[in-house]
Amino acid sequence: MGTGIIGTLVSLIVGGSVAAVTVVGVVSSQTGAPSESPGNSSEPAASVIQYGDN
Amino acid sequence: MGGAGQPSTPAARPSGRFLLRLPHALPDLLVVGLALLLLGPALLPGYVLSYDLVWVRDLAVTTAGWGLGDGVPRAVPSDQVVALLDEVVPGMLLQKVVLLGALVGAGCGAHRLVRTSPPAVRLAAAAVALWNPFVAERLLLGHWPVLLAYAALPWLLLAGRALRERGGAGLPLVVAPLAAVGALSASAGLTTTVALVLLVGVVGGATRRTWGALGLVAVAANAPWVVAGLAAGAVTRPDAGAARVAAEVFAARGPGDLPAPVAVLGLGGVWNTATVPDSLTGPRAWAWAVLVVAALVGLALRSGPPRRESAAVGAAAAVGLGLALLSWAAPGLLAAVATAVPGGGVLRDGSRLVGLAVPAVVLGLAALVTAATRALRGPPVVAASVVAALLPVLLLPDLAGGAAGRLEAVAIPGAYGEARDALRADAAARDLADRPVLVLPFASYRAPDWNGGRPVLDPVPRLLGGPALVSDELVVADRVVAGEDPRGPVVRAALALDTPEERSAALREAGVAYVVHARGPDVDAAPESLAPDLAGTALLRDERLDVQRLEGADGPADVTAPAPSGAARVGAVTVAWVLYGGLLVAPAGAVVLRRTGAPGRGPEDGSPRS
Repeated sequence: MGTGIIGTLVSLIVGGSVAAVTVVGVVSSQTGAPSESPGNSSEPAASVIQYGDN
Repeated sequence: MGGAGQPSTPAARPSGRFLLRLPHALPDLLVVGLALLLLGPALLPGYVLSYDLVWVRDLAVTTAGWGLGDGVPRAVPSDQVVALLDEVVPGMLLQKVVLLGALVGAGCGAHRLVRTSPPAVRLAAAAVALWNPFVAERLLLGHWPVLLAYAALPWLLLAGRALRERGGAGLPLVVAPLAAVGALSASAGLTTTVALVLLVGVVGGATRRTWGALGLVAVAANAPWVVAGLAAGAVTRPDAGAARVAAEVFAARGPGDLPAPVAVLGLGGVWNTATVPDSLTGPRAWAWAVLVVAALVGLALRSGPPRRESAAVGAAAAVGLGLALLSWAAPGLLAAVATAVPGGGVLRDGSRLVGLAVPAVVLGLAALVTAATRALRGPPVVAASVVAALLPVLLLPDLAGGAAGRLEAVAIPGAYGEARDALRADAAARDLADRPVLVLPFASYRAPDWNGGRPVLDPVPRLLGGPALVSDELVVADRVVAGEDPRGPVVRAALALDTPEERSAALREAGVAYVVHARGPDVDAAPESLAPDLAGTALLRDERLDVQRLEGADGPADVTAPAPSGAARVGAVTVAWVLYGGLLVAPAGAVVLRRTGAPGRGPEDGSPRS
C-alpha cells in the first residue's frame, strides 16, 4: 500500500515535471528574443545567395 | 458489439467502446497532435519556401519535368509528380498534405511496428519517429522527397513482416506504391532501395522469385531519375578538385563545437549547420546521441524472435549512420568514388540517409521502454507514457511551431504571375516559347524579403512554368561547388562582357531570348556580375522583378535553337516513366482482378505472387 502511494507520487512528479519542462521549453523557444530565436535570419546580406553554412 | 439477440453491456455502449479503444487510439492521436504542433504556421494559407522546398500554385508539366530538359534533371521525378497532382489538388494544399502526410506517416508506421506493446512503448515509438533531429534538419533543408522515403520505412518493414508470414513468397501489394512514393529523388531512391533489400527482402525471407520482384520494383521506382540523368549526360564524373570540394562541404558535421560523430549518432549531422535548430547545439544534442546509442544497444539485446529482423534493421542503421560517419571521416574517399563512378556524387550529402537508422531506434527504444515499464501498474504507467510521448519534444523543443517560425507559409507576390503571363504572350507571338528564360541573378539560391529573408532555391523557374536557364553552381560557406550544366560557364562568360549589347548578343547565341531579373535587398547585396544590365525591351517592370526580351530577339531565327531531344532519349525516358507509373497501376489492377475473381489470385489472401 505504502509502496503504491509512493509510486504514484513519484510518477506524478516525474510525469508532471517532464510535461512542465517540455511546455516551458517549447514556449520559450517560440517566444525568445529575435536575436536568440532560431528563426532569426538577419545574417549578413552577402550570405543570401549561399546554399548553406558549415 | 451488441448484435441482435445479445444483451447490451455497459462496455458495449458507444461511450464504453470509446473508452476501451482510447488507449489504442492514443498513439495515432499523439502523432496527429505532434505533427500539427511541429508544422504550426506552415499549415496556414501560403507556401512554405525553405532551401530546396519550393512549391507554387500550379507547377507546369514540362518536358524538363519528364527528364528531357537541357539542364541537369535534379528534380526528377518529384517536380513532374507534383505538376501532375496539382492539376487536381491546388499546390498550396498539396504541399501541406505532403508535409503533414510525411510526418503522420512516419509516426503512425513507427508505432505499428510495436503494435502489441503497451501504450507507453507505442507512444515512445511514434514520438521519436516523428520528432527527431533528422526530421528537423531535412524539413528545414526542404528535402521533402527524403522525408517521404523516411515515412515509408516503417511501412516497408511492416510489409517485410507480412512477407515473412507468407513464407517469403508473395510480395505485399503495398510495396510497389510505397517504393514509388519513396523514390521521388535520387537520395530518396537510394534510401528506399536499401529499405527494399533489408527491411522487406531480408526481413521477409524472400524467395528467389520474390527477390526478382523486389529488384523489379527497385528498378522501376528509380528509373525516372536514373534514366533522365543518363540520357541527359548528367551522370558524369567531376574532376578530382570539384569532387573534393563537394565531398568536404557536404560531409556530415556538428554545429559549433559539437563533434560530428555525436551529431550523427543523434540522428543529425546535416552539412548545413544553418538548418540545425539551436537546441541541437548543446547538451540536448548529446542527449539525443545517448538516446540513440541506448536504443541500438536495446535492439541488440532484444529478446525473442526474429533475430533476422533485428539484424536487418541494424544493418539499415549501419548503412545510414555509417555513410554519414564516412563522409565526415574520409571525404576524400567519397570524392574518389564520385570521380571514379558515374553518378557517385549522389552520396556526397553523407547524412541524408541517416533516417535509415530510425526503424532500429524505434525497435530498440521500444525494447528499452518495455523492460523499464514491465513492472509498472496504475499511475506509474501513465507517468511513463507521458515521459515516452514528450521526451523527443523535450530534447528538441524549438522544432515546434514550424521550427520556431522558420517554416512559415508566405504569399508569393503577384508580380511573378504577371511575369509569366507577359513572357507567354510575347513568346507565343514571336515563336520563342521553346527558348529558355535566363534567371538573374545567376545564382542558385535567393533570400527574398517576401520570404522573410529565408534562403530558398530560386523559385522563378517554377513560377514561370517554362524552360528556364538557372545557375546550378552552389556556394557553401564561401566555397564554390561547381555546377554540372554546361550552359552555366557560357552564361557567366556572356555576363562578364563589357557592354549590355555584347552581353545580350552572347546570350542570344547561347539560346536565350528572355531574361527575368529579380529585385530585392538580397539581389542588391549580391555581386553585380551576377545580374548586370542587358540590352533589350522591357516587358514588365516591378519592384520585385523585371522581364526583358533581349535586344535583337525578334523571332526564332535570331536566337540559337535548343537541340531537340533524340528519339532514343525520349524512348528511354518514356519507358522509365511507364515502369514508374506501373508501380501505382499494377497493385490497383491486382486488387481489381482479385475482387472480380479473375485467375491468378493467391491461394491465401489473393495477393499476387511475385
